[in-house]
Formats: sequence, C-alpha cells, structure tokens
Amino acid sequence: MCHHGREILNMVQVFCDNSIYSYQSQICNGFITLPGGHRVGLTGSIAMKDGQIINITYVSSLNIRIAKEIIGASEKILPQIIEDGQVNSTLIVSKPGCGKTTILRDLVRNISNMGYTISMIDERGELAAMYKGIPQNDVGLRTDILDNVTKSLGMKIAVRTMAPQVIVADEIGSEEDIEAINYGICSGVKGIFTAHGSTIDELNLNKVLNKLYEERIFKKIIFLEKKGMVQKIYTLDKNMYKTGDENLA
Amino acid sequence: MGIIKFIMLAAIFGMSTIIGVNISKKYSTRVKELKEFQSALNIFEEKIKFTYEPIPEVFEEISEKLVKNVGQVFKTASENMKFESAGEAWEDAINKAEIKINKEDKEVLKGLAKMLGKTDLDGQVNEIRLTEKFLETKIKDAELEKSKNEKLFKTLGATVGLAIVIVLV
Repeated sequence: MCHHGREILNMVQVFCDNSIYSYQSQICNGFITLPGGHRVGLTGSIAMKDGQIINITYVSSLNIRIAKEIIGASEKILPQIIEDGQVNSTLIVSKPGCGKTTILRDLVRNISNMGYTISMIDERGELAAMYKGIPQNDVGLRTDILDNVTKSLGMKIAVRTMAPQVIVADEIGSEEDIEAINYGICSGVKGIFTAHGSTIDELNLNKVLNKLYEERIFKKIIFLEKKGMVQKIYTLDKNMYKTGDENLA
Repeated sequence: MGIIKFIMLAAIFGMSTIIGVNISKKYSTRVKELKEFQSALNIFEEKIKFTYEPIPEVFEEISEKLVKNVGQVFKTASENMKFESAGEAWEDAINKAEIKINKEDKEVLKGLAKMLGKTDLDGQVNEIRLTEKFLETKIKDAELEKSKNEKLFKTLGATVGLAIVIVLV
C-alpha cells in the first residue's frame, strides 16, 4: 500500500493510539501489533545510529496482515507430543507458509490448558500477539510470554526465572538459539520449537541445526507439508531416529 | 421614602463594587489558569519520559490532578482522541473550553497540536518544552497585567459606585 505521505502518517497515528513515541521500539523493529493480533509492517526513511535503527522518520508504506489463529490445528499431532503424561521435546520442521506457527500456537494452547507451565519466547510477536500486555491469541492458561526479545536471551531468562516445564519458540536457526536450547534442555526443561527445512537430510546439512540432531535433543522431529499436513514423524528410540518404517543412524 | 432611597443607593454601590471585583478577578484567574497549564505540561513531559504511556491515558491522569476548568480541557481532549487525531483533539478541546485565558494564550497552547503524538520521544519532549517556554512568557505578561489592574478595578468599582451615590443623594 503506497499513498500520500500525510494519509500514511495519520494511519500510523491511529494504529499507535495517537502516540507514536510509545510504540517506538515496535516501529524500529518494523511492525506494530494491533489489538486482535493483526500486524502492520511499516517501512520508509530510516534513521540509524551505531548500527541500530532508532527511528523511521517518514513512513512510506504499510503492510497490514490480518491475523487468523486456528483453534484445533494441532489436534492431530498432540498425541505425539504428550505421551504417558510427559511432554516430548519436539522440533517441527517445514518450508515457509505451511502452518508451523499456527500449529505451534495451538499446540501451546492445548498443552498449557492440560496443566503444563510453558514459557513462550515470542520474538516477533506472531505467536501471542501481545497488545498492552494481553495476548491477542489464545495461547493457554499457564503460558508465560516473553514478547519482543531475542530468542537466545529470552530462553535463558525464562529458564532462570519463570520455572517452566516447557519452553517454546518459533523459527530457531542461529548458533545462539542452539546454545540457549542446550542450556534449557540441560536444565531439565522440555522444548518445542519450529525450524525451516523440508527433509531430514536437509536438516543434517544445516550446520547449525545439525548439532541438535547429533545430540539427540529432540524426542520427536515432525515434518509438515502444505496446509499443516503431517509429512513424516521421526521418533527417538534407543538413540536412533525412526519413522516406524525406516531406521536412521 | 428615605429608606427606599438608601436601599437603592446601597444596591448601586454594591453592584458597582461587585462589577469592579469581577473584572479584577479576570486578571488573577488568567494567571492561575496559565500556571495550571504549565504544571500540566510538566507532568505530561515527565510521564511520557518515564512510562511511555500513550497520550489519551496521560491526559486522563493529568485531568484528575488539576483544577476543574483546566483539568476539563485535558479530559475533553482525551475523549476526543477516540475519533480524532491527537492534534485536532487538543485544538478542539482548547477552543471549546470554559477558561479565562485570552486568545493569544490559547494560540500558544494550540501550538502543541502540530506535533502531538506524531514524533518520537525526543521530539515530543522538545515540543512540550517549547510550549512551556512560550507559556512562561505569557505568565510573566499576565502577572504584570494583574499587578497593574487588579487593585485598580477593585477600587474603581467602589469609587464609581460611591460617585454615583453622591451624585444621586
């Protein structure tokens, strides 16, 4: 959407509750979360200082994304995650646009409502979509949300301070993420994460995610394809990942 | 006959004095209200610096801390912001307010409207400080007028009244 500058500024004002300064940090991240979980991406002339974005001086384009949480999206894989009253550490993998985030959100809602304490590190505000401290999406009763913080830092803080049984984050992929996950799992916390990828071989080739595979961090690795359909599920059994019809070293 | 005349004269004297006192009050009210606005802007600046609260909420809180007339301006502005931009809401609230400051004072306050809610924190704080500065000048101006005119009109009212009474006696 690209209109006359004045109209855009007026729209941003309305989105920011008439107070652009109070949404400063969100604007510098490139998006504003609205009540209802909708997100407005903004871009334009950016002011930088010391390698950080400190302001968008002229907003020239807006990208409005209408949120849609799907309750019940995780019904099919829930039995894989909760087995014998225990939460299995799980990695959900798929290409972009297959519904990882939607399924993860619903999974958290279910597990939380079943009685497990969850700490959710919502780096981009997509999972919980916090607005003034209130999650706009239903992420469950016992979910503590860390909003707008880098995953690695957030995970460490959550493990140390919120006493979670499960930590959850979307789109892990950096070395710091892996290090933080290791820290969490070694502290006895279970983890459910998503990552980009399409096959187990591709996962192995990824220098960063490979570590998680090698160290057998996850009990389950679930591959999804379009529209959240389950493609393959790998279960850790006697230190090997099996799909039920195949053996992997 | 004598008593009625006495009562009428007393009434005329009383009214004249009251008119004089009311005119003189204008000057002291203007000073009071300008100082209230100054105090309000101070609160506004401190609030947004430390809490990053959005303007409608800050104005709502400010309105409760101030004297009725001035507080009402902030309350109205806050309510207007539900369907207007911050700047327009503020201007409307000032225009419709029942306050005793004069036209130029109102223009100084309305000057805040241009950038209200539109810039980052430093921008907002600078705007507020600029308005505070102009307001300071206006307050000095108002106090000068008050010292010149307050006593004048009080005594003028009584004197004119007395003069009329003497003439009619």
